[in-house]
Amino acid sequence: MMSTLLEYINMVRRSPIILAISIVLLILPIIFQYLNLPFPANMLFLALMYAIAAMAWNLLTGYTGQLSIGHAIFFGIGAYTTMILMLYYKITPWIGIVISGFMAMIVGLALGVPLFRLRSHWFTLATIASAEIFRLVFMVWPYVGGSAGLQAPIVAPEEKLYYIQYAGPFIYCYIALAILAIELIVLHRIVNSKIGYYLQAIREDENAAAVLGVNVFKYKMIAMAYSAFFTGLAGALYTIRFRFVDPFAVFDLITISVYIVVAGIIGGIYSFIGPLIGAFIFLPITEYVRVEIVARFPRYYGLHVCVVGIILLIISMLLPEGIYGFLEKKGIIKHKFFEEESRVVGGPENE
Amino acid sequence: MSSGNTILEVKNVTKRFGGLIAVNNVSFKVREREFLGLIGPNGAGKTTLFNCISGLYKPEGGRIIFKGIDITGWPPHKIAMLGIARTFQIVRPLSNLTVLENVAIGALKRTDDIREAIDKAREILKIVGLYDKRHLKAHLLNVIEKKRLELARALATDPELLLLDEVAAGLTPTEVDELLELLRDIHRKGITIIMIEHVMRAVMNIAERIIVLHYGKLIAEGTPEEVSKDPKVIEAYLGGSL
Amino acid sequence: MVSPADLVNAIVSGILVGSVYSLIAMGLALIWGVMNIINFAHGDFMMLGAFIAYWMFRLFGLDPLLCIPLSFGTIFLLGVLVQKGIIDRILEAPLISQIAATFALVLIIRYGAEAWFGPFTRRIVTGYSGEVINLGSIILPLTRLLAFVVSIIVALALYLFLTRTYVGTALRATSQDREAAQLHGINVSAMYKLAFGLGVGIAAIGGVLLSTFYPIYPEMGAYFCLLAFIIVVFGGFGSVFGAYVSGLIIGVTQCVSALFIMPTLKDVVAFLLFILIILFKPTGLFGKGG
Repeated sequence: MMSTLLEYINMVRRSPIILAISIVLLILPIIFQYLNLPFPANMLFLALMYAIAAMAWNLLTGYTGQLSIGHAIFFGIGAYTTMILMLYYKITPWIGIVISGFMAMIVGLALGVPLFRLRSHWFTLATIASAEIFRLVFMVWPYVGGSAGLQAPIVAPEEKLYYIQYAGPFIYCYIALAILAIELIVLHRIVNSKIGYYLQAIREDENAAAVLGVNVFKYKMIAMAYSAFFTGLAGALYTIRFRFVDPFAVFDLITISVYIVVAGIIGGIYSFIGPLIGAFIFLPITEYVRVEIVARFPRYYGLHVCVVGIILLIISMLLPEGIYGFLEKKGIIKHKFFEEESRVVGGPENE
Repeated sequence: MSSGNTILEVKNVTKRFGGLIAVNNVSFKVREREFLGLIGPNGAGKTTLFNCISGLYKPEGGRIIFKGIDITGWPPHKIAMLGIARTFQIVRPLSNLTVLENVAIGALKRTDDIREAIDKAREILKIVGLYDKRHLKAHLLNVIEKKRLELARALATDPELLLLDEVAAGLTPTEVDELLELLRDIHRKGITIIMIEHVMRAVMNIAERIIVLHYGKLIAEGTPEEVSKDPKVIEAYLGGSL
Repeated sequence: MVSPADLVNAIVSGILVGSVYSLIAMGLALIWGVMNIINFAHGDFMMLGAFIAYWMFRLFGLDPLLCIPLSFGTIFLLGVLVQKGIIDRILEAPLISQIAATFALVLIIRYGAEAWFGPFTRRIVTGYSGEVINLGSIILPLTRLLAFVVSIIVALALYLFLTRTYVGTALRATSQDREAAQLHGINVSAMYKLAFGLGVGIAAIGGVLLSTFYPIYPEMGAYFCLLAFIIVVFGGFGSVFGAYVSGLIIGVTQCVSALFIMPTLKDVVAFLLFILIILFKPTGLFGKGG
């Protein structure tokens, strides 16, 4: 606990930019609330939620080289777990969120056993197929509400804290920020440890890694565990904020799985903080289009997703290292955010 | 130089790919701290044999016994943990990682501490002469440097048995001599070495004993002099000079 | 209880509808085989083909079957353009960039169409839409029968093209060994454009056929694309005619299993099969290997 706190303080001390971003993120929700701007506040929440998921996803994809387009599985399991615990067992989401993470992790590990036998695009196709299976099963499974989903009713005022039910995105932004902070610290440590190095070795060349003593399957599972856990937390966030889950929303190929991939690619999967940056870039754009145009003229439904596609196409063709990666490459971002960032550009230096 | 104990025993190992027999009932022993050369014309099955020993292939028949333990069919990482390291004939650098990170990953086999691994990696890079390039991404090196990186990475795992696959390929005679000096140093530290080589100058001058493979079969075994005079060996190389 | 007549009808139904799946899958297999790229946007080109048929019918009263050449031609050209402008540039890129680019196409085409045409479900109802031919207890909807016939013709045409023409043989050569093909003077770049255009063009024909008996909506590509993947893998990656046969099999499996289990679950079965196949026999029934 202390060492992680120390690490965060170190991080902040070294880079005034992180300090600035941290302060901005902490203050923004208050500003939005005070100025009564629900739309930017909602955008902030969504960006945070996707950032959490995308950072987790990148541990498996950017670092370990296993491209998943099925992370909706973990998001959905997280969302449903929190909802079910809340609805059927009256368990507070303060605890439910954590349990959701572990449920998602268990599912991830179970999936990893067959799926990690597959290499490259076969693995990716299998993740897509698996996510579809989950979506379809949840659509017909009465216990989870089938295709109608589950709705959490509004509770009496004295229970609002217990069930984390508040109007507007304000409080949820802070919960999301807390989760994001914890996630960043945990991921940062992993990525700069032996695990991080081994994962990258696996990404580069599985067989070479194996003869160097890397238990490839074990480390893929480790990556999966963390990746699924935090994505599950993102799903739990969804539940407490929107109080309604259904298979079309939380297991969706495009708006969950692909959006997560988009966040990663736009920001840059080869850098640590890339996916977070990516989420904060494309989410506001797509939300803006959705709210300003599509919600007003439902006839143009789909435009907001089309816009995401255009951005993705441009980035994947022109800036394969992502926007953050590009800025790093050009030296515009000279400042290393993290001293010992284990990325492809450099490594720990203690000279 | 070598002690009396057998560190590796290859017993009747056979490896097939469909109808093709790549390694055919090969048996030999390697003594601790020995420097064994493995030669044979192209396609003789040498690299396949290495792949069997290091666990990348599972032989169809036979046993492989290392330090008294039967490692046949073991997964490669387990074999590595036991103390076998290898380089690849077609180099396999971890391309997007730096030279230093590549070697550090090797060192991580013996330690969990990144700092320790990096320190060790620096030492080894100094020994092989890649220290100045330690911050370059591995794919930026030329082929010769990549081979040295393979060697450094394998050394970093602190092996007891080192399998070298054509590390001298493409080197000038001077570079070969430098390499041989390096290998002698490594050998002096007590590491057993098996070396696949086509550059006869290299292997004949450093190996204590040589085994010869041809079409997957072991056709000769002996000192460099004995092997170079063996008519079966000469025939296998089609009269080429040894 | 399921009667034998039901079963026979299910099998026939499966073959008829499967033949349309087969077309879509054949196009995917062609692209995959020649260019070794996974065209995630395949279903969306099919959707565009279906929409062309719809608009021709709606605006000019053109029977969808007559629209086939137009749909094919338009989507073929579109495919060539997309190949030239986008796919070509990412052929040597890392896998994730390729997948990102093809998914970007999915988003642009699918949701661009949705924004343009509107998220409505449309249908083509011709004078003969409801016609049925009865062979004893076997019910043959005319539209599906016609679709089957067209599908067979197209498959035959493709077969002749690939085996009897120079260009077709060159295409096959490119899919087997690109370098060898180049050494024989084959313009590989042109082959790629041809393969992609042909692949999505044939899918577009599948789209037109679907439009005669199936609802038309912008997101329809999703379902049929996933189905096409399952078919292609089942039939053997890269094997174009393996894909055709496997499409019929999948169609039959779908219809027969619908007799016994919930419709949603039949898709679950398909996806589970898919995962099992790539886990245990990625070369599929007829394939040359993954």
